[in-house]
Amino acid sequence: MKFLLSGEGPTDIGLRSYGGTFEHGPMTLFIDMLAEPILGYSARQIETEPGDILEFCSRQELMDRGKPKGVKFAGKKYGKGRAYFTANAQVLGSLALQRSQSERCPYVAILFRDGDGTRSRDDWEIKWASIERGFPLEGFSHGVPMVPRPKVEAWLLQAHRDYDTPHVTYEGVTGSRSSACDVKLKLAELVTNPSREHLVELIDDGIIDPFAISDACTSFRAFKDALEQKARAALARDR
Amino acid sequence: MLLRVYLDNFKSLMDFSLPPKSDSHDLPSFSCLVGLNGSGKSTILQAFDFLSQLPQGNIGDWLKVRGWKAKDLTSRFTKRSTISFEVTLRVQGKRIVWSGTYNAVLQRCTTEEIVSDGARVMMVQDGRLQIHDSPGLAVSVKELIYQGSILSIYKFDEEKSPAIKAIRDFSTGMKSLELLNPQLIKNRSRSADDVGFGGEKLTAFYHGLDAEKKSAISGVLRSFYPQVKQILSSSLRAGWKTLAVVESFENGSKSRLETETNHLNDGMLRVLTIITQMQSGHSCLLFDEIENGINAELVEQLMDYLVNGEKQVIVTTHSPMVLNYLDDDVARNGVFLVYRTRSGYTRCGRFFNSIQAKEKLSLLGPGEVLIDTALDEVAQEFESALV
Repeated sequence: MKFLLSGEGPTDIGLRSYGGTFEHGPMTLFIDMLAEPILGYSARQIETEPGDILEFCSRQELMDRGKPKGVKFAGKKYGKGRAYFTANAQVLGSLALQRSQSERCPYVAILFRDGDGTRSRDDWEIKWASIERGFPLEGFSHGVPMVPRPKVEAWLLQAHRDYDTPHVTYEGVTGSRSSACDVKLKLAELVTNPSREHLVELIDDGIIDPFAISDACTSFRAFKDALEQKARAALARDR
Repeated sequence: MLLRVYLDNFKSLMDFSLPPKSDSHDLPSFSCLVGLNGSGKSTILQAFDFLSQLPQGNIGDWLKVRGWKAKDLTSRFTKRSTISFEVTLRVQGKRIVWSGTYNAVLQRCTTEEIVSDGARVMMVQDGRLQIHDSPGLAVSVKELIYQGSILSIYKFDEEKSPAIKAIRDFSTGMKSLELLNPQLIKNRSRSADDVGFGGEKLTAFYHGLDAEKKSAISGVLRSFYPQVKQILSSSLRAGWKTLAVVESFENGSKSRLETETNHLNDGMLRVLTIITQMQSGHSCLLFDEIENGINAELVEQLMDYLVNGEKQVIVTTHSPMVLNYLDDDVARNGVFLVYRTRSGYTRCGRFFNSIQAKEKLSLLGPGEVLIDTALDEVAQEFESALV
């Protein structure tokens, strides 16, 4: 089984280096660790080449694939701001389906987007539902939305071993940088250097551990549950 | 070709530019204004029509046709009775700028200037007209009785000053069809040099066209409605002109159906009026709410026809379908969001230059982006960029 991952930037899923290698970001490590008990192995550790199992599609690569089929007009069923995320999931889903068919190998596609919207509005539910809807529109059934609420730094904070208020999830605050609860600032205070490389090191060293995030964090629980369900379904097809 | 328009104190257009001053790209050959009700889209078209009327004079008649009073032209936000304007054109490779100040009480431009590629061609100031290819000549215009621009009364040597001819051509070449109304289109009319802004006098205007133009119009109408075989026009007693569309159906008893305009469907009447104008001598056409009455299946063809025509076209629309049938590049260059600031002034910005809309366009159709995006947020983005 393989994973096709797409995110927003280096400090979530990762980036494509100039040489074309997929440089893992902290969320890719989270995915690998959460999938390990289901798969029975760590995809990251058994890869002979980076990208063997954990495949990557950058945001730009996703855009370059062009518009998906079907008109997505807003209406009673779908409100404003949904079509774009649905379209992102459609494109990733169709790529995963194409690869799954040509390689005869089941894929799980994971689309990462921060949950805060324009002007730091909480758009978590809209984004989650829009992404979840997009995958099956392309006939792909193993798509998982990965949408931290309000943003990825909130998950990283809660996963840090020195985070001493596990009941505080920051899910009720906006992702605004001007907010007193700015999770970006708080993470920077905790880890000093919140770069991709350093965050990956902290995860590898066990200082940041996704299993430490409490179930009070509904956005993480939603992701974890969806990943488990889709990965098990894809595995069942594999066997 | 019309490149830019600036207006200050025309209805809700206060210090207004299309495209905005901060946007270095000029108007393309196809532009589409979108925005909420009351944002000022129709006002922009009215302003264009007003500007094109100035060189023709007769402002009083123009106001009468619209049912407006002289004071209706200026903004209700100020007590000023003057409207400043600047029109930039590109004609035969030259950039021509016509600017001035219109006084709503005097109903004429009290200052005016035409500049061609940076060189002044003529100027009206302090009641005197100066023509710059005749140095030393200054004509007093205070005593002259005229409305609108000095171009409406003074006979310039246009061979010597092609920039003045360019402004005149802009004036006669611009046509605003803001209020296309099938009830007006279908009425018989006696004589017409042109169709009115509601589509009235179409019958007389069409009747007066030469055979080649008529054949071209019926050919285009047939491409929209394949059953159309011919358009017939005739002159009745007392000079009334009628128009009838001949359609052919596979019907044994009566395969040829001739329908006069008063019984034609609204969509076909609108399409016929649009085609007639596209085949006319006008160089710039303005259509308000282009989608009105047009069957969804014809929207793509209509948009292709307008975008690929030889004329400059500016439309307003509320229809995402209209936008969805534009190519991304056409949408990027030509779709302007018109909005009101908190102060009530009309402003605009290239919609797909906004951060939100630009990114979405890579995965959604232009119309899908329009309805997937909160227009007030895009307007705020444009306003914050100006601060």
